Amino acid sequence: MDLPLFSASFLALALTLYAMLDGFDLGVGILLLCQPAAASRDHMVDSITPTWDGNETWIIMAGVTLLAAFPTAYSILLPAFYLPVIVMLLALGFRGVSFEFRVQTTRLRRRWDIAFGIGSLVAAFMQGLILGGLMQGVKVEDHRFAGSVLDVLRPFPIIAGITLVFGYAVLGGGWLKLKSSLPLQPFASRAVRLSAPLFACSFGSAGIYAVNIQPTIHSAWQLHRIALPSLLLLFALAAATLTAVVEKGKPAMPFLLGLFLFLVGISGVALIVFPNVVPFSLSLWDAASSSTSQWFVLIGAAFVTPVVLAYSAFAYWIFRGKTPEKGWGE
Amino acid sequence: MSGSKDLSQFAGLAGTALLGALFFFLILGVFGLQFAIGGLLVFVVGAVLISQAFPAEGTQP
Amino acid sequence: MKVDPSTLARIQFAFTVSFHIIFPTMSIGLASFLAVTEALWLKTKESVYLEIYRFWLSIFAMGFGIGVVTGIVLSFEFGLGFARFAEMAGPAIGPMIALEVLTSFFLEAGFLGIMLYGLHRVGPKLHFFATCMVAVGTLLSASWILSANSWMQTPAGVAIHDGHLTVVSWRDVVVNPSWPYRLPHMVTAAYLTASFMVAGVGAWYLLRGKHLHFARRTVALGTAFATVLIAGQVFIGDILYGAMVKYQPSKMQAAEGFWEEQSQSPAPYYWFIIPDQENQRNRFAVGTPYLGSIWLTHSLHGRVEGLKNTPRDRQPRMGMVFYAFRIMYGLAILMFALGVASLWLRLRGRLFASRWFLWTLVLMTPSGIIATLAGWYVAETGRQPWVIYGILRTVDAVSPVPAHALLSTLIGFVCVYSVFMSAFLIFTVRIIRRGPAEAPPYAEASGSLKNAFRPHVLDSPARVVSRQVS
Repeated sequence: MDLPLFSASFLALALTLYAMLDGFDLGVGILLLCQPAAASRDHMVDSITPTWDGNETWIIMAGVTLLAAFPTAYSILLPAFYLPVIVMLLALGFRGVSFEFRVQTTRLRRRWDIAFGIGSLVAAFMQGLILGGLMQGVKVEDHRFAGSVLDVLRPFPIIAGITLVFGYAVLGGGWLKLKSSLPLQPFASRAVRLSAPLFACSFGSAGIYAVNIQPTIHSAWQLHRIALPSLLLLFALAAATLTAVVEKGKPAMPFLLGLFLFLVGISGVALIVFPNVVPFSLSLWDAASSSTSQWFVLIGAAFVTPVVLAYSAFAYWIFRGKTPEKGWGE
Repeated sequence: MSGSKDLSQFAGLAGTALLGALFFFLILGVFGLQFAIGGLLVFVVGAVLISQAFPAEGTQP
Repeated sequence: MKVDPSTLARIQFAFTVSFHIIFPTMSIGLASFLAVTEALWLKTKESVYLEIYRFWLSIFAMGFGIGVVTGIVLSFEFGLGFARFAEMAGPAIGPMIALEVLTSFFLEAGFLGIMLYGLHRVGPKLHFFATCMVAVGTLLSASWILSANSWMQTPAGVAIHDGHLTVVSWRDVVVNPSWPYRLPHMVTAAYLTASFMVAGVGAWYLLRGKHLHFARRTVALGTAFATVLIAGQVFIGDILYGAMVKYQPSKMQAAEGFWEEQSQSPAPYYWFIIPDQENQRNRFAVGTPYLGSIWLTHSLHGRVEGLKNTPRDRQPRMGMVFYAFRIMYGLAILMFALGVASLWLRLRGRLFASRWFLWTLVLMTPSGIIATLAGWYVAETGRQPWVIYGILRTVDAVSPVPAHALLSTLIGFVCVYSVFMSAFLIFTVRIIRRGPAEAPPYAEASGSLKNAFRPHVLDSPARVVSRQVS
């Protein structure tokens, strides 16, 4: 029973769920900054009101799983990403407060909308920086972080940050296509049509750049010489389809294709990074804590995950269908 | 007349303060663990009984 | 200005954790208070209890939300500021922290939504059950976190090889020597906090002559609970004190202000000192004669052990521990006095009539929070210079992050947390101004997922239509 592998899988699952679920509401927040009409902004926020902050559960689960199951990795990765993690946490918290404050006022609502949008944008960018920093490789000496906190401010992580912002915008746009009423549809379509190719291009450039700056990635491409190119092809096809069918086709298509894009991207990243938990020097087995600690985490996760999933599914189901145009009736 | 009322008021206040201080020292364990437990029980039961018997409802500020 | 990274890391953690603890302390206390109130409503059917419930529900929800957000920051901050600590202690306390997080998600996913928004939508028994489960959940979370922190104070159940810890006995890790004392102490502190908050707001209304029925009931409830609780807390506190003298003597030596290995006999109880850690003496000290021997050694002539009993490089800073302890203890004495006063006033039928008493209650509204914070400062500054007592020093536990990064994020935290606190205070004041009659049956500003389960959301005609259409 390979406990570290199970824990790592749970970690990956939590992060994937986070990216897909919080992705679209961060995306809607980002798109809020591009929407000049106040009524439309209200409608956009209404579409994520029922479900937005439960989505953050998953990143916390990932964080504490890392601490409990891979403490060495936790103690290396957190100082390594000190700046983006803290800025992200503050941005997410700030987002929460903006959300509360904006419903309490009409006069100042625009300001809080901007705050909500900026909080979403910053949080998304930080997450991209972290992802890019991971792919770039973390400098480790003797099981300690040996690089600089400013390593994340190099070109590659910045490109990754921009990529993720576009990616979340795609998800956000797709969500709006699905949930918003007629007046907002053109905006949603435009959002998807613009962000999908931008996402694909930046993802592509990031991929190429990655091979050049990190030799391990270069080897990974040679190792998985069928899998990785296939994933890349799938990604390109999906992005193209997304851009093409955004107007026609079912309202759910853009969102589902967006989710698919993320799954493909995450699979690619996972293939490259595995079996390291600190890329590219510490494998998950090296960083793992003892089996009793792993058991603790896995049993807890086994109990809690189904409950959280069920409750979330229930929440999404109750609020299925289009978001009412007049909002949720203040 | 008010003089003796004030006096009895003051005596009640002083008495309560002394009793309170005594219980404080008791519960703190100054006289030993048994007395601490005993003091705690007496105090708590007393407080509950007083709260039930004197519900303080209906008195106007 | 050159401040070293370890000091900045400590200041940052101290700030974020102090801010955080305010909110779970309120949540634990208010959750149980709400459970009691709802039980009283179900039993007596008196509408005032429903009013009390609805009033405090909103404040509880907000505090809970902020507690969650600031708690999330902490679970990352161990690693951010104190990577070496996370690496070393991770195997032991990582699972406990993970379980705390998972426990609270479990309860938040299930019962919190019903508690906050289901008051007139689910049956009263189910709703009461949800309230009780939330209260139990807060206690469970508290016990996991207290176990983790207590392990830092009295590490047990681990073996050390070569700078790495392996867990030898999980039972000893979780049920470590100080946990059984510290847990009841913290829980009682939380309950006291809620009692004084409730009584204070009630007293405020009484002084203003508003919402009299609500106010009288809450003052009666708050003071009654506070009286019983403070007696228990004094008892538990003294027992904990004895345990800490045994397990962390340096902390208690610092707490009392004595330097000499054996103090004079009889020993005074110091209220005010100007300690001089460099020269291992007090430049000035004021105390009550005999009281030190009486309170600290339970005898008339006992000698108290001073900080010189601990080697200098293992001494905590006396000033911080001493004054934190005095603030906590002083407030406890004040609370006890108020409890006794409330009993006397009841006997005389003047509980709601005595203006000085009501004003004191108003001023004591935040007393539980201040006392809890002070107590935590005793616990954490008294454990220094260790982060894991006897095993890892705080200066050795710090992350390899430069001072400028720490300083800029500290400033960031202060700014953003100020916004959180302002939001909380503004909304709370608004709720208090509006009064209990205006309190809705569901929580308002809560920052939680369940926002959308608000009745006016679920019942909005648009949603009913879309429900029918799909």
